[in-house]
Amino acid sequence: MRNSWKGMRWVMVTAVSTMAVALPGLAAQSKDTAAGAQDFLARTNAKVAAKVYFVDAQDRTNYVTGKYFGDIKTSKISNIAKTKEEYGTIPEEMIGKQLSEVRAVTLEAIDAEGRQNECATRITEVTAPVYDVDKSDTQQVNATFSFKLIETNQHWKYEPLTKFTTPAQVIDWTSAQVSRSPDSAITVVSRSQSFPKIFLQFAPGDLDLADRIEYAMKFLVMSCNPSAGT
Amino acid sequence: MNDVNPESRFWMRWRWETPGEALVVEWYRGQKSDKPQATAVLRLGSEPRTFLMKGNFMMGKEWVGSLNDDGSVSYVGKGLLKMRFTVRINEQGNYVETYNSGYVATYAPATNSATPVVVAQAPPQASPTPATTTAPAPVPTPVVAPPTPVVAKQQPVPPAKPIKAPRRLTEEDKQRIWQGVQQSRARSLEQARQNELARQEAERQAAIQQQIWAAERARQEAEEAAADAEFEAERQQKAAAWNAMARANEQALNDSLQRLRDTTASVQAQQAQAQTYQNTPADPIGAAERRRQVELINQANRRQDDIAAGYAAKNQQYEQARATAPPSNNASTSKPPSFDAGRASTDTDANRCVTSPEVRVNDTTQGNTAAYVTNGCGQTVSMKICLMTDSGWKCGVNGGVHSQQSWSFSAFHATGPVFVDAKVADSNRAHASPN
Repeated sequence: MRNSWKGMRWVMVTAVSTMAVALPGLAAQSKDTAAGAQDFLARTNAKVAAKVYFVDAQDRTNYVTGKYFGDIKTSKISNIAKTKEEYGTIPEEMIGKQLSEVRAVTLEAIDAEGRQNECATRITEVTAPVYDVDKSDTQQVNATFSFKLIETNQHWKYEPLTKFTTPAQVIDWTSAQVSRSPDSAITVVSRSQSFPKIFLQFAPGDLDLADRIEYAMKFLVMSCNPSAGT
Repeated sequence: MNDVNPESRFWMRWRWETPGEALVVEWYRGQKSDKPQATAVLRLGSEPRTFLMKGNFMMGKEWVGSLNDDGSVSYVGKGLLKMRFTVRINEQGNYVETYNSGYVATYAPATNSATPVVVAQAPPQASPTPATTTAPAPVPTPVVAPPTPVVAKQQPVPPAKPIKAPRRLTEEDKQRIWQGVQQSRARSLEQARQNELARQEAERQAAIQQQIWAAERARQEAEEAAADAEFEAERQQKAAAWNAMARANEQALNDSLQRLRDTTASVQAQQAQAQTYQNTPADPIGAAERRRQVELINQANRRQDDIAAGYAAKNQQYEQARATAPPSNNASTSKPPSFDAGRASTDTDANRCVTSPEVRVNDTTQGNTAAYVTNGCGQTVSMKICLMTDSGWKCGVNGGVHSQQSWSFSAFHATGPVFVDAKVADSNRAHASPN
């Protein structure tokens, strides 16, 4: 078995990652490098879109603040008088919520100072489903000879996702920890510049690919943190 | 960063006191000053998008900053003195403080700093001659600094953390990693298996619970069915009893109606028989007898008319005599004068077959006197009874005194004389009068 791993590279691991063979063992070959592991993770992320959890000091995950505001237009319509329109605004409120679905788009081997660094993975870009909310509602209130149309527009606007990427957060493999869940989701947790904890989680849904991801992560940990055990 | 405003010439530096929690802002009079002229600490506010800035000036005054949509932050002082100001990064990347008074302080990045952040992270360099000044942010009026221009000196960049190259792993390391991955995979699978077993066990328990509930439901349904059946049986029993009673009542009613019908038929038969009897033509002997009786009646009527004429004459004489004689008061219990002698007609017969008046003084009603007459005739008669009172004759008539029935008429203050006249009820004759 071991001889069959020889001569394989991370690039090849990436290229054949979808093959149903015992490819994780390929990673054990002698020419594997931290740069190759970084590249593998970046390429794998392009396929499985790892989830990211930015946990702040208040233990809030992917927390964004925002503002609730809106306007109300009231039209009084009558058979015997001119239509009367009134405009009002809904008092603004500060709001916040935690985003459940933030995924990494771009992973790069760049450190917080913007330098190429094989012991750092920068989450350069993230994406999430639209989380701003706009709601319009029209209510009719009938009276004897008239009725009111109350049009309400409400908006919940939140910070953009650039909150998490400006500056971009970086996984420091010198202090990162890797774990694997029963459903073979591979997660690395690290401290970043702005958040006490960030989690990067791959859920490939395939045991062999999960093995390779875990191998790559632990490869980086061991390469960058000599004191780390497996 | 240095203030490009020629009046001020402050240098501003940032550093983390506690990373992620407390950011210290320091204002220096010169770049080389090692002692900040003023210091403030920025922390996150209790509300989202808010900051709390506490300075070491103005007796530790605090400002609350709110993050605006355009990225600027508006600060409002706590307490009576609001001392509002706004900070923002302008298009040139400068840090701009704008005060309500109109004063604007603009801080440009240090020329040797790539980004303000880098400068902020670098500890400020010592300056041998710090200038005195007031706090920059809340000052309502700008502090006028010496007009001498100060050339912005390059902020020294802190030495970048050297990139530590990853060590090259040995084959043994890789084997350890791979073994670790395999163990992790095994643990993961084992955990997944355990989870699956737990899930199956939970499912089994749930199924058992479902079975228990189903059995319980079935038992309850059986009990309810039994109760329903018992109730239905009782209901049917009661219904049968009720029906039997209803039939008995109906039978009794029918029997009663039948008896009524029989009675009615019997009565009708008797009436028909009587009618038949009445309608049956009389035999020649009967007819002759009836003609004879009619003739007798006619003769009696004629005699009655004659007698009546005679009585009328006598009465007239009597009235004349009475008018001339003093009134008599001694006849209260005596037999009244009889006017009924010699009658030969049907009315005469009626007067003959009624009893003489029996005069009684009413025991319970003082001064009241009643005259009782009994109909001894074989048919209903009409009676007229008159009592002589202090105020004259008082008369009463009863047109339907049945056979063998008595009738009385009473009056107050009767003086004695009583007048009675009787006639067959359907007679056309008028009652006689005592007058």
